[in-house]
Amino acid sequence: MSAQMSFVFVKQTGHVLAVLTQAAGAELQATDVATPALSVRGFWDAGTQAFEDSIFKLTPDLLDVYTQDVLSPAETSPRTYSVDKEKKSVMLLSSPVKALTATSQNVHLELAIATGSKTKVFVICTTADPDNPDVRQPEISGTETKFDFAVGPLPSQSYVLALVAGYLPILAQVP
Amino acid sequence: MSDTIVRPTFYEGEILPASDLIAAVDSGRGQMARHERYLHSWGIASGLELVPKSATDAKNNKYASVQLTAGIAVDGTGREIVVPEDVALNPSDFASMVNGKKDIWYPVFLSGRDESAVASSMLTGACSSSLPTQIKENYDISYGTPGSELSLDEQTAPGFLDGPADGAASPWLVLLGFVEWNPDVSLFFDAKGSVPDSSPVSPRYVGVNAAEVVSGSGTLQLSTHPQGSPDAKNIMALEIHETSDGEMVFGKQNAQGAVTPVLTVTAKGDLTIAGKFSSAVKPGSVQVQSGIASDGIVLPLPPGVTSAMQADIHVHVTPRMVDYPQPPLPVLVAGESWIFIPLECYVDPTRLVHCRIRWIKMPAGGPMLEAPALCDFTIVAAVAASGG
Repeated sequence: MSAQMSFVFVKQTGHVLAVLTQAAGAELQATDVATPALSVRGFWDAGTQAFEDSIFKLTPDLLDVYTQDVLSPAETSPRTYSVDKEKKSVMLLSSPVKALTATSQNVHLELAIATGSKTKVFVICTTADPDNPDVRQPEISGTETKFDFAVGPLPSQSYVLALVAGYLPILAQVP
Repeated sequence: MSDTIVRPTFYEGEILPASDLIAAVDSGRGQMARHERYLHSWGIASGLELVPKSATDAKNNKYASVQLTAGIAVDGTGREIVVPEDVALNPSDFASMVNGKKDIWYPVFLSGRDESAVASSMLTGACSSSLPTQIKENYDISYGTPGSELSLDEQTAPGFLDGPADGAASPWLVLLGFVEWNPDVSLFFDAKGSVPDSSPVSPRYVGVNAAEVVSGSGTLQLSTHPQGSPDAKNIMALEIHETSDGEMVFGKQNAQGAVTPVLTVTAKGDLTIAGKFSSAVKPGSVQVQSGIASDGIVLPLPPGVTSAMQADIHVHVTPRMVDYPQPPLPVLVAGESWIFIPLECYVDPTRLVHCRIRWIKMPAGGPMLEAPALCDFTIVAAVAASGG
C-alpha cells in the first residue's frame, strides 16, 4: 500500500500545524491525532523572532485532518502549508502578515494590503493554565489593513499565535 | 370542540348555511394537514433559497440584495406555505425587527398566514352587508436574533383533531437561511443557507414517516439531493434494483440519475467494493502501524483499535534525521554554519510525540536553538482475547 500524508490543520483558517505519514489505512479524524490536544511549539520557522518555549494546545474541535499522497517538502516544514476551503488540496503559504503585537487585553494585527474579501482569523494565546489557551476566531473585513481583537487578560510573557487565512503564521509575546 | 373528526353532510332542500360550506372546506384541509404532519416531517419542499447579489454603492460601501427564490414549504401544523415567485428581502423589515450589527449572521424565517381577501362589492348578505369570500394563504418573512433558530424544533404542534394553523397568534417558523447586515448603509451584506461556524442549525427539508417504502418500478433510490441539483457537489445515492438478478449499490449519482457504484451487494450476498476495507479487530490479534509523525501529534492507534479496547500498546520512536530548514536568525556570516543534534524523542503515556532537535551555530560558542522535529514510529497494539 502507498503511504499517505495526513495534514492536521486549523479548521478556521486551513493552516497546517503538523503532519503524519503512514501506510494507507482508515481515514484519520482530528480526535485520532489530537486527543486530548495537539501540542504546537517551537514556532520560529515562519517569523523573524525565535520563540522556543511557547506551547499552544489545540483541542480536536478546533482542528481537522486532510489526507493525500505524500508531499515531501511538507514533512519538514508543515507550518508553511494550508489546506484549501474545500479540503481538496494543500498550498504553500508565502505572504507574511506585516505585524502582530499583543498586550494583556488586545491583539493588534496589520496586513500590508487589504485582503479584498472577508478573511478568517484564528488567534490563540497562552494563559496561566497551559490546558486552557485563550482562543479567538474572528473574521476581518476585506477593506481594512489594521485590526484589533480583545483577548485575555493575558499574563505577562504570554505568547500569541495569529493565523490569517492565506498568510504565513505569526507570533508575538505580551510584554 | 368536538372530540372526534366531523364532516358536514347535506340533504335535498336543506337551507345551506355558510358554516356548513366552510366546514366542508375545512374538513379537506384538516385531513391534508394531518397527512402532512404525521406522514411527513415539516420543512422546505422545493426552492426557497436565499440568493445574495453583491454590489458596491457610490461611497464604496459593500452590500447585497438578497432574493428568496420561489418554492414551497410545509410547516409543523401541516400548513402549506407557497412563495409563488422570487421575492426580494426588504432591508427595512430587517431593521424594524433586529438591531443589526456587522459580521453577525441573523436567521431568516418563513411563516404562513391567513389573510382575508377584500370584501366583494357584488354580493350582499341578508342585511345588505358584504364580507370577504376568499382567504389568501399568504406568507411572512421575518428575522431573528442569533440563536433564535436553535429552538425551532420546540414549536408546539397542534393536536390530532386540529387542522392547519392560521398563522395569526404564534406563526410556525421555517428557517430559510441567514443574512449579514451592513449597518453603515442599513442594507444586507451577505446571505447563506447555512453558516456552520456560527450556527449548528441549517434549513430543514420535508421528510417521510414510513415503515414501508415500496417502488413499483423495480428500482428504489435514496439520494441526498434531487437529480441535477445545482447546489450539490456530490449527490450520494443508495439504490436497490431488480436488474442484474437483484443488487444494492451505493455511490455518487451521475447526471443521468444513475448510481456509479463503489459498493455493490448482489442478491446472492456477494460484496464488491472499490475502496479500502476495514474490518473489526479480532480479539487476541496484534495490530501494527508505522509511519512518520511531527512533534506534538498524538499517535493514532492502528486501524480498528480503539482506546476502549483492552489493548496493550507499545510504541517505538526514533528521531528522523532529515534536511530540516535552518533557523532564520541569526543570519550566518562567512565561515559559519548550523548543525543539529537530536534533543529529545519519546512518546508520553497519552501517545503524544515529544521530538525536538537542537540547532548549534558553528564554530561552537554561538547560540543554540530548539525546533520541533519528526520521528519514525511503530505502534503495536496487542488486543486482549475475548473473555480475558
